[in-house]
Amino acid sequence: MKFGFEILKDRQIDFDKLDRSFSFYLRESEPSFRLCIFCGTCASGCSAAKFDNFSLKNVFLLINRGFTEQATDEIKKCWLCGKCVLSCPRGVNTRQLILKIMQKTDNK
Amino acid sequence: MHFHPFVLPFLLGLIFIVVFFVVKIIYWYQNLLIEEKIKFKQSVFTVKTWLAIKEVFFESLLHRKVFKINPLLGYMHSSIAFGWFLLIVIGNLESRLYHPSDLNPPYYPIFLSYFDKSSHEVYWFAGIFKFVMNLLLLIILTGVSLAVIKRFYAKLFSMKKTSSLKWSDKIPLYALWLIFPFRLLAESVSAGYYHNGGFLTNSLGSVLSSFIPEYPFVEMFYWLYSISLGIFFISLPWSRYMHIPSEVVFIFFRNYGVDFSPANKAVNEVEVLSCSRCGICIDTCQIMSSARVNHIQAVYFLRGVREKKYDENKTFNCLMCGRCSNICPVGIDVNKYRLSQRIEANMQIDLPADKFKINPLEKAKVGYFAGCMTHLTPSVKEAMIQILNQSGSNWIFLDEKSGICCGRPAKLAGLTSKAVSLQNALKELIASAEIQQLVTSCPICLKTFREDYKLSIPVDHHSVFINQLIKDKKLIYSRLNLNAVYHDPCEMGRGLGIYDEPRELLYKVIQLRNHQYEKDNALCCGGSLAGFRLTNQEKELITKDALEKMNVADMNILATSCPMCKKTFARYAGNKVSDIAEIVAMAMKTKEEQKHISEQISIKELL
Repeated sequence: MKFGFEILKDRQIDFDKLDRSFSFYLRESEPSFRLCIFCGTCASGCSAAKFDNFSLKNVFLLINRGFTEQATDEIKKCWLCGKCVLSCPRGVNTRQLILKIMQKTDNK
Repeated sequence: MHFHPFVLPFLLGLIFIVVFFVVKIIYWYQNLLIEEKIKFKQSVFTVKTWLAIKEVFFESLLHRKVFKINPLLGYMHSSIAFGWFLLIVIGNLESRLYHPSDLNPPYYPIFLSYFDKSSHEVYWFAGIFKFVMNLLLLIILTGVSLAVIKRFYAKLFSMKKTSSLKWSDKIPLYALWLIFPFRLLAESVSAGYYHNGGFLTNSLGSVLSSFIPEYPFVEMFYWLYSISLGIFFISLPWSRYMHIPSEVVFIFFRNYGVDFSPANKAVNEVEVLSCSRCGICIDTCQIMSSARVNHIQAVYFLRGVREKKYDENKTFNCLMCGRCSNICPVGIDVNKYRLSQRIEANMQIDLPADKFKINPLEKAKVGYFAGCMTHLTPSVKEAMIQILNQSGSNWIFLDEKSGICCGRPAKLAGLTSKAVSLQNALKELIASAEIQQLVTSCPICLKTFREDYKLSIPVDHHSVFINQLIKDKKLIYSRLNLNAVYHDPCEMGRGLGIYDEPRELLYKVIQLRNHQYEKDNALCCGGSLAGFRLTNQEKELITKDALEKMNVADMNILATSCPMCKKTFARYAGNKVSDIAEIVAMAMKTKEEQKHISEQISIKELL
């Protein structure tokens, strides 16, 4: 039966599939992750972003939304130069978080 | 033949430790690289052996470096080490008087006062021996009592904290504490009955013998003395006291030019075992002294390396400032072990080489590489551009728009292959400009350029470069009427040993004041890229503490030569934090402009 409208498959949020355990793990192991407001300052000054389509803000967003696999793929582009630590207005310890995400790649 | 069953614990312990150590030395020697074995053989009959013996005498026995750091601690160590050494040597000589045979059993000199009960003097100088042996025993006993006091009241030694121990260390520690009191008791009681002691044992013996019967107490004390020696020897290989034999081997290996790079684990063991866990590195660590985080210091980290226990916190919670290696009386390079553990902790991820599209640069004589951190402190970059332009050098900005990281931050994180991919890309960029000299503003880059890049051209920090420009009279400047203190960045100071050029330059343009924490005693700003696990509050404590210790508040300017330090200090310093390049650029301005700047700085100070 059709009512003239339907829910598009890709607009659906399937909370059963949402797995934010990695996000919670990061918050616990590096509490400064909670401070991130996704302002994007880290991405704007990023050296690696000039050679690659890379944004640390996006990685953090992906993790928060449960897309752990995409995030761990994305993080490989990082150089760990540390510009984001210095520029972060919220004092997020980004390099520790990046290492943690990279170590997650290892465990797979 | 003199024999009594009580010598057995000592004898068994001694045989065990000698066999164990001979096997160890053979194992270490076998694991040397072939070139190192050749070097070793060539060096044995050269002056290097004498230098090694001299170093063993001064460091392993006299503990000269510990004396320099803390005289009381130095006395404690050297009274036990050197005192015991002399006690063995002189005891052996003395035993020859009574039993002049070349084949004395090894326990004979140790228990001489029991085996030689006669009070007759063989030679006229036998009394001198007795006096010296008693004096040495007294000196060792003062050292042992200091050691006991230190364990419970470290503050008396002006140490904030002494190293905490595990049971495997505690057994030989308590045995060591007991050896000499038991020796004193054994010799005194026997002296009381046989009158064969010196000034100490005779007088104590006459008191003790008045209420302690000869049987069984004389033998009992010798039993206790022998057992404590035996326990000490048998538990030695698994405790920190393994440093006693290892340090000697370490000093010899080092003098013979053996490379203790992390690749050769069997040889590295010599260096790791040489750590005596004296705890001198604990107080010097800023993570301990400023941020109050304990149990990650070099002492504890090296114990983890030795026991092959990986601890994430110990491995990653370190700024790699190098203050611990700098003060270490044994001279252990701790940073390389942290690095190799970091490499093991991470899986290596490569960066695809095609990612870096490098546009060839114009050719120039001098290449200026600002570095990532300098791009975050644009004032340094602008000052350098001004200086380079005014000097009339033929120069090019290597990373003006799309800078590539030098790779050192990734290397410090343990991601070696990532660092290598970055290095290769940057090498290509540098090669494209065909420069004859590379100048960088960042000590972090400088360190890796010099150590890992293997460039054929000279690489200098801008402070060295500007100093040369001024010497060549290529810059016009006038002295600033401001006072400053200079902060040595870790990577440039302890890392590369560049101390004099920045100072020489600063003396020319500004009034430079000395302070206590400079050169190899310089403090870390707390922002080091090697640090991963410090919280913001802990970093703040380290930065503020460093500022306070350098007495920055009385100065107009805090001068540094690292953009990273500048950025970290500027957050908490009340006064202006400037890079050397900025100060020189300031000095290059006209008198009127300078006056204006000085006024601004002093107004800021009043506010």
